Amino acid sequence: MDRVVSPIHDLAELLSGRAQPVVIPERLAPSASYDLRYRIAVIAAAFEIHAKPFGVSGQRRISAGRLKLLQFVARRPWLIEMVRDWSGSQHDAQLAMTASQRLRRGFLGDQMHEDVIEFLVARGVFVRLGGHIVSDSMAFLMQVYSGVVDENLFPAERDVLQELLDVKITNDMLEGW
Amino acid sequence: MSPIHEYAQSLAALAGTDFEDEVCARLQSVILSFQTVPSSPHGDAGLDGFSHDGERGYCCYGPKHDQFKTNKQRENAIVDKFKSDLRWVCELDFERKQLISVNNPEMCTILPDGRTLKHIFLLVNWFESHRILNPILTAFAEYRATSACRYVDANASVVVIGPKELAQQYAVDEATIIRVSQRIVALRVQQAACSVTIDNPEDFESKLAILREIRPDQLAAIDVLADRLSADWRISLAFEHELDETVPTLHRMLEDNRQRILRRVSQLMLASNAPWQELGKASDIAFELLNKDFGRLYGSLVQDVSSGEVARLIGECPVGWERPVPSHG
Repeated sequence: MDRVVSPIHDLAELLSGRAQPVVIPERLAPSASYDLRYRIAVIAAAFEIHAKPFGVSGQRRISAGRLKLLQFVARRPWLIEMVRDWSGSQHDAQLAMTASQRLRRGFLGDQMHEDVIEFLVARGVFVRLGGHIVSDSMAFLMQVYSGVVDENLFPAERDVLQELLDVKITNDMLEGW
Repeated sequence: MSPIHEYAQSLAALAGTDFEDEVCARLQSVILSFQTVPSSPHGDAGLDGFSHDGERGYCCYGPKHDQFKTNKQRENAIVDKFKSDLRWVCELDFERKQLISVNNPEMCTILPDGRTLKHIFLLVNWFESHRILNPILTAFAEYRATSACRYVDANASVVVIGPKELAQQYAVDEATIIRVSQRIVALRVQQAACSVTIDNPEDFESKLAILREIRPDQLAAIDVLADRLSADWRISLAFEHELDETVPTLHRMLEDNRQRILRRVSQLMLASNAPWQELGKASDIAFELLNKDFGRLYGSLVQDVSSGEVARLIGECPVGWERPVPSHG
């Protein structure tokens, strides 16, 4: 089968001998997914909005799987309907598995999130306690979250996190396949 | 949506060899004796597969969805295709509108010796009209009566099976859903690309404005080119979204490959006396790089994404052009 000539080839022909090329490799904008500060901000927001009080010293905790799912959906607001469907199909094991297949494959494979959590654990912001993430230094997370709110940063992500408060996320949904 | 319904919908969305491959994979997973019949290099003799020691034969047809303007045309195409398959299996053909016996030389190299097909299943990706039944069944009765029946039993039956029927025949498990999902990923990306919005297209538009100034003799061609570049760019964005949602590790690989593409293209352009010729090769460079990581999973979609990635490099700024500097003297 003949391949269709690429439009880039046509463009090159139009430009040939008529224009000065400009190549600025550093202007390639990397995806925000790999921006550590952005990821920390979303994790801080997810933690602040969803973590529950734990112990007597003012610490808070959240299931590691729940945090992973919450931050994943927060960064992709269009997935919230899929989470609702998944949550609503918990009575039917096969339906639940099918409804969530794409989403589970996505959030379970979010290695960058794991790397950011490891970084925050190493920095003493979080402590891992079994399957939970516990805040060790609330000051840092609160500071990040306050900064996000004060500057009105990432409103879409924060809106999704608020909406997710009304969606029942069960342990079955978080415990893999 | 139930898994059966979802699977039926996915089957209906497939066409061509994607449909045939999925049907064969499905039958292979549920019928222990299912045997596919490769069509190259000698042809499939009208059969895409058989099972039960050669007693059951399977013919597939997945017409493209935009191939026909009306259902009537689609019905006719399905009837014609299956009648042709059945004639071939029955070793018949038309000569001056009369059925005559012909030799189907490959059939004896496919079915076990001494076996004839007792049931033939015609699997199609669109079965919304019962009007295909009578012409196919009537024709088969005639073929059966005329045939020497070397490979078809004199009392053989024919059944038409659509996506819903196939999905309902056997339990639909998660592996089935995952398999068919992978097949329709290209379709999903293409559909998603139609609704992708390009953020901040101003740089891209200003580059096109300069191009129009430079080439006022090619305004119509530039408009067409702009549409094609935008379409490819949207495919690339839709593909990125797909990976980001479902396979983040591959998204990272795409991100890394984008850097490599830019590096290779910029090295070639900057080092060359004919930089635009090098840009012309950019899509091939992108394809070469992306195909290594994505070719096996995403097949022909990689070609569109490659062109889209280069369009994106132009649209998102790293590669551009300026008006030529006027020469003095």
